Amino acid sequence: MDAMGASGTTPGQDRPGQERPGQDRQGLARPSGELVRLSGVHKVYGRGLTGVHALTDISLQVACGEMVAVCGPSGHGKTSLLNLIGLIDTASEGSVVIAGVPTATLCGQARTGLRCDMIGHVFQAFSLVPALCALDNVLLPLLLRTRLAGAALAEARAFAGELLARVGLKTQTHHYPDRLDAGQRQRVTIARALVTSPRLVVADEATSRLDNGNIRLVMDLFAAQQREHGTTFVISTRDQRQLTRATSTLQLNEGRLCSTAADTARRAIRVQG
Amino acid sequence: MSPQRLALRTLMLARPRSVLAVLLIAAGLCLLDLFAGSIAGVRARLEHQAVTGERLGHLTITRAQSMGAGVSAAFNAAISPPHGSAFKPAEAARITQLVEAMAGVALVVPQMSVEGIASTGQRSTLFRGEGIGISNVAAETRLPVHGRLKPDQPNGVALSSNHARTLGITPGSNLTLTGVSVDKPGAPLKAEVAEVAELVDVYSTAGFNGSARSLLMPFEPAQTLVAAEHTERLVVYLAEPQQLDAMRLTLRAAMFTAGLAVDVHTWQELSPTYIKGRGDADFNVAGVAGMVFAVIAAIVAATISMNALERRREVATLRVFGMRSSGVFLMYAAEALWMAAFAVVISAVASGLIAWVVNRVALSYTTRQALLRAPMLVELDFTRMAMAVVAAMAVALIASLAPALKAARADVAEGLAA
Repeated sequence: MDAMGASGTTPGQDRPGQERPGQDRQGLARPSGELVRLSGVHKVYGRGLTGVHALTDISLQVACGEMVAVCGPSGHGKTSLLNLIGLIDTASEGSVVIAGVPTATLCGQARTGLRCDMIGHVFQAFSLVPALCALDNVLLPLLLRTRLAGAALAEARAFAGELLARVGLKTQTHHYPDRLDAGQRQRVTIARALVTSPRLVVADEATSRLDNGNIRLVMDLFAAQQREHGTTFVISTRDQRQLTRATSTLQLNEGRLCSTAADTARRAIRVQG
Repeated sequence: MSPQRLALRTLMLARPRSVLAVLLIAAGLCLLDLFAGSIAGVRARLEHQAVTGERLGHLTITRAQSMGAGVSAAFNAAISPPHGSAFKPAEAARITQLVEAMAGVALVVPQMSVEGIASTGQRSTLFRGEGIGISNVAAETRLPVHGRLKPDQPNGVALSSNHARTLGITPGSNLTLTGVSVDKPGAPLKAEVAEVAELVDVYSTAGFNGSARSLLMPFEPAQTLVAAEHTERLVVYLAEPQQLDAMRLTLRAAMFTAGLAVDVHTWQELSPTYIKGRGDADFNVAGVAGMVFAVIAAIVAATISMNALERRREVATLRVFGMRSSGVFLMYAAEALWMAAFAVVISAVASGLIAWVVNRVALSYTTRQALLRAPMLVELDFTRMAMAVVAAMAVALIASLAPALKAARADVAEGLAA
């Protein structure tokens, strides 16, 4: 089933204040080319002898519109890498450049602004707000970013409802997280990541709790978003079906990019017009 | 979505910890409301005791004189003025006429102190008494009054229970009073005991105050007893006691205009029982309030701390999606305020209900000095309740500051990994 074909529209289409495919929020053409660049990045948790080197000398580039899969065993730095790319964490060493902006020198507020404007997040542990229903959880990034009211709020709610429908939760829009099972919660987090039509989606084990049908549903949604909005995806996964859809794959082993995987990545990561 | 709204929605999830915190805060406030209400009842009885029981009225007029500082000096000067400083009959009559003509005055009663020996023939005792104009003030109140005099028995006296026991007399018994006068030797007076005074209220002056009078008698026989015609003081009862201060000023001005040099004292200044009782009551209320607010602070701080610890991931998520650290701080502070606000509403309802039940079942209690049990009445003090609400909100806010600040400063990545 093609989820994008169900309603005839794609997320972000024909909504005031939202960009069209290939355009940013001001209606200007989205910059093509490199979106993410990591150079010599190290991430160390703790200090001294007890410090844990989660990432060591990571250098990579991700082009606009790509779908990059990050693979590797548990505890080998996938989440740390995604946190750096998603501007949730800062590198201990090296530089992280998002859309041409070096993030190391950004103040907290500027990082937050860049993160909210550009990046959608799917967390492995769902991280839904228990006090909000599924619809409000999806709306949360919009509600925290701007003060929506009246027609704009109604439109945003309609769009959030549409996204929930696309991930198969049309009848659960007003359910609270404690009434949803793990798979449903994961789909809510996916809808939440897409509600701002971000240029980059960072998804940590986005389909780990989904059955085959829903995995296909979500991957189709990602593909449509990628195709129609030029959205870039960086996904950590152990699911081979997602690897086949990825335009490139990064293999992490003990915090280092494996040479073969890195070579593959470098080959695959090209500017996508 | 504002942090305050998110805090409210989180609280509306009614998690057991938050519900328990709200109920405990409400219980503390309810306890404080009821205690303050009970103290308000005590104050009302103290006022009744002073105004009616001690016969201080609402205002007392004495001849103007220099008085020493302090309550006891004012009391002694007003209640037992030096001889020669009392009003002469013409002055007393003029003042009485002027005061009675004023709006808001219910009654003007002359009073004077008498001292002497009371004897039954077999037994004798010294007494310190009061000659008072017989009025219906005592009869009009439904609250207990010690020492009621009877208008149809001009020589009738009321005696304290201690003196009655010492003399071995009961109502209807005769006794002889011998007055002591500085000006001339005392004149014996044959008197009939109209009533043996008994302590009918735990706040009776007789129970608390060493200067309480042990004998009450009509004004004219008292003048006869000390062989004098003067009036030491004039006691004024007001139709509207809440106008006390305004009436005092009006009365002073009227006396000044009439060329009369007088002092006007309120019952609050003259009643040592009230002053001591009020001080004790204020101290007790402050003590209970301090404990209640300390408990509220501990509850709020513990609840917000635990919530912040448990909801690290939720807060980190909010931060990721754009909530600033100041928003997190506001959210937890607002949660504490919402908790306090819910508790305030619950405590107000519970206090009203409990006060109604307590007043309806007519509980009573007794103390060591009381002869009769005193009714336990709860008169909710809305001013104090409002102050308690403001204080509770402030305490909740202050108690939430540290955990809210800690939560606001928490690292986002660590929070997501929690």
